[in-house]
Amino acid sequence: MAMQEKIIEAVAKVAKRKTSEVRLDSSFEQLGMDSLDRVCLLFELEQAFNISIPEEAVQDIQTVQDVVSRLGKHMAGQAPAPSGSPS
Amino acid sequence: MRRVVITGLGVVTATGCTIADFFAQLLEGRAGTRRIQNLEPALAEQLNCKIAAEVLCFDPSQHFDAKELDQLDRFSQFAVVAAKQALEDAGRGEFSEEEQNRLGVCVGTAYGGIETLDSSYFSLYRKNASRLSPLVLPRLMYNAAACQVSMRFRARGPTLAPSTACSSGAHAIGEAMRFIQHGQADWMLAGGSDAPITYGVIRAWEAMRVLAPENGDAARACRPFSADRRGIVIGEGAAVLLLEEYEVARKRGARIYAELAGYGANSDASHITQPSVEGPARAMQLALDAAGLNPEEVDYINAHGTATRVNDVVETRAIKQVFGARAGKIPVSSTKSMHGHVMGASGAIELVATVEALRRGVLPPTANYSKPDPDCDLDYVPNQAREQKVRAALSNSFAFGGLNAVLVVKQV
Repeated sequence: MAMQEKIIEAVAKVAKRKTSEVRLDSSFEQLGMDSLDRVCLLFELEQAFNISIPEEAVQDIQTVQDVVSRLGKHMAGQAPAPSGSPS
Repeated sequence: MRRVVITGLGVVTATGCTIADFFAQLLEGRAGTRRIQNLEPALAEQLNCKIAAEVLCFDPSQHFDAKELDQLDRFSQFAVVAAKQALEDAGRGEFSEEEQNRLGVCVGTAYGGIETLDSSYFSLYRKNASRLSPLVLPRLMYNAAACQVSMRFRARGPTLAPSTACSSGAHAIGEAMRFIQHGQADWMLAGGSDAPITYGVIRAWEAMRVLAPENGDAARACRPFSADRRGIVIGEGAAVLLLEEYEVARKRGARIYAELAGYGANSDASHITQPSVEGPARAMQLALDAAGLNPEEVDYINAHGTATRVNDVVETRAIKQVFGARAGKIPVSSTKSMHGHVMGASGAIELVATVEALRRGVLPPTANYSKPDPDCDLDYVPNQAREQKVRAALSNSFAFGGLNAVLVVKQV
């Protein structure tokens, strides 16, 4: 999955780990990531996907899996709305 | 009032990245001013100024891991490494938890994380980047170096970062001294750090028309007090000294290099770039008074000596005003001829040179001195180091904005 791989790459880059050391159930705490690393991760993800990630989309993220699901939801929500949907 | 002594020294400069290398090169009168190597060639090409005193003896990866480097602008890297040297030199070993509360940090800087700022603005304005890394801010802030030193060595005492242009390092050491004098700290890691060799900073200095134009003869470009002087060579680097309360140092049997005996700080309050004679003279007098010294006891002055037309004449007049008939008998040298003008680190680097001169009894020369200037008629220790006993010495720093800071060291 391209998206999941990109996220793992971003986490690995910020945590200064090998991608093989980053698993979906890894928590930021286990990876030694602090609150500054968390904002650095969001920056890397914005760069990687060329999107803007508002804070409310990523509240309470604790694990890599949290990022994958929240980001997936956020990006789906950003997709152009189908025609005829209520405004 | 409690007394303050200097028990540890650390430097990162264009003339050496250990105290031994640094002072040996100064005594040789060998300049570290060279053709610029670390700027992106496409940018360097657009500069009129092609020379600087770059630190080439420093490999960041030897001191920091990748994660640390992400958070450290070059000026913070310099400061942390210089502080580490100072602590090792002092042979202090680990500080206990309680002692850490009595260890403070004061690292001055003129430019802070300007390299980070310069490169991020370049990507925003020139490359139309849509966002900046969250690490830009913690890297560029002016107190970053002081904080990084504090964190690295668990210094939980008073920690601050004076920014007073070219007097920053001297102000930092003088203010740090006060924390110990007044009982708020027993140790202070004090000094200055700057890494200002960026495209934007050099362009700004070019506009001031005070940079030495000798691109073809970099090693001879900076000639303080010489009649043929043409201006400043910008440098980068840091110096940090461990200041220690005298009784604390004595009880642990520390090797004491010198007493930091006096500090004079004032302002010209007249012009943003043109220095006055009265301001610097009064700062020297304040420092002597604070040290309880009379002019006869001063055996060496490490000058601000930028090699601009104006500074060197004004500084000469100020020295004469303070020392009167004795002025011509006091050796005065400017080591900026060799390590360059390291902006906010200059005052600290030059105090280290002054302390080394005092403890070893040998004066570093003014390099590249070739021709007497009738308006600069003191003994500038031209080109050759000189053995001489030093009882007490001054280190002068005079900044743009008219902010003067003078430090006095003496034998204990």
